[in-house]
Amino acid sequence: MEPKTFVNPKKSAALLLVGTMKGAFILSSDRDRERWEVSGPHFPGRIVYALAYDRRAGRQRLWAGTSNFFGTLLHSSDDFGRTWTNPDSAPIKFPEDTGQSLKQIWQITPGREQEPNKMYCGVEPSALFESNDGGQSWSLVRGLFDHPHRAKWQPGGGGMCLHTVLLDPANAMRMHVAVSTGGVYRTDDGGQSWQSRNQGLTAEFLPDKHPEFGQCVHKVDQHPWRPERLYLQNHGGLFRSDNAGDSWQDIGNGVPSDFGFSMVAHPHDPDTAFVFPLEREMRVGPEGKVRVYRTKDAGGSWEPLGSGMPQQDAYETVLRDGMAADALAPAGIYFGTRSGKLYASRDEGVNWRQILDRVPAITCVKAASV
Amino acid sequence: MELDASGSTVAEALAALWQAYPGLRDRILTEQGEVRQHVNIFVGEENIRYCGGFAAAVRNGSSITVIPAVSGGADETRHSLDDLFRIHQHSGVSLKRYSVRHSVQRHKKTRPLQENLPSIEDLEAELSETANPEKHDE
Repeated sequence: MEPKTFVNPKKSAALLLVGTMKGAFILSSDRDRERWEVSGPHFPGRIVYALAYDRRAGRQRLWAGTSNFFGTLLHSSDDFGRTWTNPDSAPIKFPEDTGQSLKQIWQITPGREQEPNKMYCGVEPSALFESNDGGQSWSLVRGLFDHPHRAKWQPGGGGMCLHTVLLDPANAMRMHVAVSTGGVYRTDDGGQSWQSRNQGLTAEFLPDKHPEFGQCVHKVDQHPWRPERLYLQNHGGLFRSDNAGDSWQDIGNGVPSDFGFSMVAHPHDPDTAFVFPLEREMRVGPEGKVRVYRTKDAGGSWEPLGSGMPQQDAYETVLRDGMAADALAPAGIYFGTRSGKLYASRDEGVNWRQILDRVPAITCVKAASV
Repeated sequence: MELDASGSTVAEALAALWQAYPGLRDRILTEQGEVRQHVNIFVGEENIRYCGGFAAAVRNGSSITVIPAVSGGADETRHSLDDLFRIHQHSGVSLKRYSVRHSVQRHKKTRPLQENLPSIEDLEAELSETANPEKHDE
């Protein structure tokens, strides 16, 4: 696997977008996902927390949120990273009356298929921005920003961020976001009003262990075909909801640690999900092993999957956006570590191999099909 | 390259800079108009954070220097080389870029005279090695 300056993926190729603390990398493979071409670093020296691929309306557009001393920018590329936009004016800005300044873009989410010019960004400090013109201009979603809970949200170790944006593909009015710390919020009216959806989620660091809001939710994912099913990695605890967040039940059964950052729902099977448990003290894989845990019964039980990965003396951390699944069959599962390694499985987690090494600390991994 | 303008404060000098190079404003200031956390602006050797902010006086002959902060790992040598640009005050305001002389010369070879100043991309590339505050997700 020789690094290349640019990738040139063919139609239906598999695409991996990898963000790091010092730039981004783009990997491309055919549907077999045996050999990967690597392009990068893009944005060398800049922190890349958010990447996305937008294939709606015939686009082949990459998006990247980057930051350094000189602020946070949103870039796009229509040629797989050969050229990127570099706007003079920062595209995402808090209005003056908010008194807030953008620190980081944590999530870039293209809208639903039927709304090809809609886009969302989750940012730090915790807020949601939306675009109705394909990402040219952005506005603050006031319904969430003005929520009375917001003043009591607290920053987690990674900052006070809105890190997850989940669109219900079947209901254009419904959307979930997750905030650390703050918890899960849902709108059923297209973003005009938002309700906390944290019943059953714990906040072990508060006197009230089951507050209405204030949970440190690390990541939420939803099943694309059954969007009322959500899986959640909490700051302590694994949870599932079968009613779009109205209530949550603990599914941390049989994992070596219920702490972790990432959570990935299987693209096809709503009963399957993947996590990367971390022991609390060092926040690395327990027992010095690199293992993904998979449930195939909606969290009733979890099995370790480590074939092809180090099983001793390994101290790897996977961050909240560091794991992803593609939509191919069998599904490919991918994760990147803070030590700059990218692992891939093309058989739904059974066997793994390292496909990238010695890159800067990986902050996000996104998988897509061209 | 020099840019003439009138003004007697840092704010007025910077306004002239924004007008000439609109892309610099959002790199140096937040959307709330504050100097970014890891960027410092000096009048002479004084950081404007401690001498009046944007209202700090700029006298004839003084220099305004914008430099990424040492936070994030820039050592002193890189620091001095990586000045983003300097504003030199004559009778009006003149903007004199740049402390990285080799970079100026390189750009002069490849750009029309009136575009001797490097682009935003060039400025960012010059600074990228040090302009990266360590943050993390945990």
